[in-house]
Amino acid sequence: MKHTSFKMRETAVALAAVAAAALPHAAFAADKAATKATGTYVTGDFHNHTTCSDGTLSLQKLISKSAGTFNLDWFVQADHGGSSTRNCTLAEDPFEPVAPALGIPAGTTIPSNGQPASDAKGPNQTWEATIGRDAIKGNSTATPKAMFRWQEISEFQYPKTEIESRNRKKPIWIGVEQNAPGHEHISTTVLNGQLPFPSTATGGNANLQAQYEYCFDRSDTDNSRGATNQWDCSVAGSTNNGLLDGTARKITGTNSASTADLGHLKTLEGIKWMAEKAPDTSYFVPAHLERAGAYNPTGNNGFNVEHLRNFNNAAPRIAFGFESMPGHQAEASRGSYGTGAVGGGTFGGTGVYAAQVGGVWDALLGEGRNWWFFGSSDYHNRGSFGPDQRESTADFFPGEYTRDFVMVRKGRNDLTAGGVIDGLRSGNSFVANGQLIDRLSFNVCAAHPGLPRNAGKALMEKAGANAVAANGDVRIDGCATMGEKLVVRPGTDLVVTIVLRDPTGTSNAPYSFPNPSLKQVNITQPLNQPVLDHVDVINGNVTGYVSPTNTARYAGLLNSVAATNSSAKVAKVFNSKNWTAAADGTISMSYIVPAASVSQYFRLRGTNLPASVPGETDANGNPLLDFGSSPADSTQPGTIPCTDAACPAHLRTVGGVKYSTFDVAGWSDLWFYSNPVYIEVTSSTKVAGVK
Amino acid sequence: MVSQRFIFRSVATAALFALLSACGGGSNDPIVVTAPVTPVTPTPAQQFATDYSASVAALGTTAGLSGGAILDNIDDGFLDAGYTKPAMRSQLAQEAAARATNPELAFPGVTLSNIAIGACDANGLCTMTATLTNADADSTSTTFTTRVKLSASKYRLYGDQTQAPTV
Repeated sequence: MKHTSFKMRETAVALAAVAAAALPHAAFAADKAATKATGTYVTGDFHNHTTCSDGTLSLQKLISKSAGTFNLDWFVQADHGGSSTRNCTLAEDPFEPVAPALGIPAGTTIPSNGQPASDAKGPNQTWEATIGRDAIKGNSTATPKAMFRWQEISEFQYPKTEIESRNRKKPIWIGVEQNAPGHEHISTTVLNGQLPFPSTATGGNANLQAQYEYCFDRSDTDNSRGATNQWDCSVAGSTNNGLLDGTARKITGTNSASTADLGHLKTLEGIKWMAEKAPDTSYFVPAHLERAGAYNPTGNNGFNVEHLRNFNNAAPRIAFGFESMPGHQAEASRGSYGTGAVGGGTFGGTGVYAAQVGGVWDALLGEGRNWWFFGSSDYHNRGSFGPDQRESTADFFPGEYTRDFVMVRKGRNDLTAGGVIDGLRSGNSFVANGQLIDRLSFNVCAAHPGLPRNAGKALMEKAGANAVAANGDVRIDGCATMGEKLVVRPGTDLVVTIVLRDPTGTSNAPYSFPNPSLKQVNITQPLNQPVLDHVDVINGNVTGYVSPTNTARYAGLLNSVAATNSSAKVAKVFNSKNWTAAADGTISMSYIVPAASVSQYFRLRGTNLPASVPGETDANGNPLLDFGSSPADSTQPGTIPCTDAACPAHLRTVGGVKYSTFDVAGWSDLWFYSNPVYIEVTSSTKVAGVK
Repeated sequence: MVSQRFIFRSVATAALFALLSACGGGSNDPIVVTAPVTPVTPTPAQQFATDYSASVAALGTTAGLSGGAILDNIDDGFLDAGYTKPAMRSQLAQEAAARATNPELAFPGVTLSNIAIGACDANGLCTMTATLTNADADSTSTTFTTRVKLSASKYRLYGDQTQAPTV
């Protein structure tokens, strides 16, 4: 491996960021209404696992759960990079029974049976046992021999995925959860070559995705250049091509004591490679980015705000957001975040980078960046339960609990993978847990100066209600929705309008006993019938991009100047006292912000919990640290007792008292987050991340 | 006490002179006159509906913004959720000036229809309902209610007379 001096690499990183900052930024303007195709919010998930990495299901069963049982509109099967011994393309035997759910009647969410994950059957059989050692390429020498992800993707997983996609008539494709050099994990896709539904063409392949994995995954130690593929990982014009290993033709190192920051540099090279090879069909979204702690220049840990800025600067059309709402929402330590995570855990199921008003996300939005919020399920297993049981002490299935709702302007055409990626890139999306809401129209408009105030608000609320009914968005000139910006003159009054739907009926939660968190404040609400309590409108000012040379404001840890937007605040709270609710669950609310004088943004969050719920929310309604309500130390009492006779046996019990933990804690504490609407005041700072 | 009730239909622009008859003699039923044989003098309510809807529609142009015609339809005591006539005048002037250099600026364009004025009190304060429509891409229509004031035989927008709500 070639070594480069710390100073040289630091300089390279900085130069890359500076150079990238000069690139034009992503373009997602509030186009003229008449030019916008009709769109629909579609649900999906892009981060889940099979036995081809550290999951427990076959590829087929994971897709069946996601696109079948939980009816997601789109799905990305994204295992870790690296290598694995198991053949995830061998499906479970559907006729082999598994244990029924404990005391919970079978419902519509329980599909066919299948083998327990621990048996060496179906997808737990090894590649070596099923295709033979000689067919496994690359430089692995272990027994059983591990197959590198690039081969799994290109030769085995992609063909099966394409068949599943076309049979189910839904865009389902292959991505990779990259073990990022210098960091923890990134959800990625390089779509070029893949031909999921609605394509009927032949010759589809995921070779480019496979090459990305070979070239840029930290755990892919193969040096075969993809065997007969003879890949080269250079990036056109990059000054870092000289760092490529002569044999592997990739940068083979990562952050270490002797190669500080090399991993981060390699990760940036990967983004640039995506921009070169597949500029319109790639994405790069850091996953559970608080979990591994702060960035470590000599290790592979987490992300600081400057790394997110570097990513976005390198390719704003590819690195456009983060998964600050992690999966693993039913684990004892929610999100699988331990005390070493930045922030010490999740807050209402969301990492501190997005959950903290005025924190990292607001710092990025305060620059006017196109940096969007996403969630994922990160499905691996159900902990102490089987995959067909409805309880969980680990993960929820894709679509069962967390859903990304993404606007795709497809008109009357079929949904496509490219359309979904365009939608992700647009920022016109929101995330909701536990079926708290399933429709959202969020718009900010310039107020009509010649109308009574209630008239303009009524029009926008009606437009929002129409959009919610149609699962579309508002197309009116003088308005902008999530991911867009509205350009106004100074002094313009703004109408902020929110219409959403709190779905009727029951959620996917298997429990109908009262929500233990709400029971503390004398609210009796079945756990499987959550009710939206309130919506916070969060507002912050935009002051422009920070230069990488401004180190004090560009780089820093949580709560540093660089990671803070002091102007961000909860500007308005809506609840049943000041919103209008219809019988079908549609809820409308709006207010006027007078005389906008500076560029700014508005974003939303909402929850089923009022302010001041012990162990859940503070007096201002902010989510509290989840770790405190579900400590991993099983000898410590929890904070929220589950006292109903129906509270399940798997909850952590101390001194004869059951505590709200695992899936019960997840179903008790629900949130949604919207992406921002930007306002650019003509005399103020340009919102440069949005055209 | 003003006991008349006027119900009529206005058109989107002033150029289109569709006349709708105000009822008289205690009847509250709307009477629609689509093509008068001979010109008739519009009632104050008809005139207000025509003028106000036309002036609102005209705000889609810089000329309409700077012309100030809409202000003739606004009572000096207009107050609506904190919005006043001077504030409206200021907003219109600022918007006109801004669009002169940035024609891409916009607020939602609307048309008014189905204006109805009734429930008047002894002070000439009446309730007005109307339909508001935007047809940029997906047609959106809604009704709203506000107050108008009759003074010197002319109706003007009076607003709900409330201050801005606390955010």
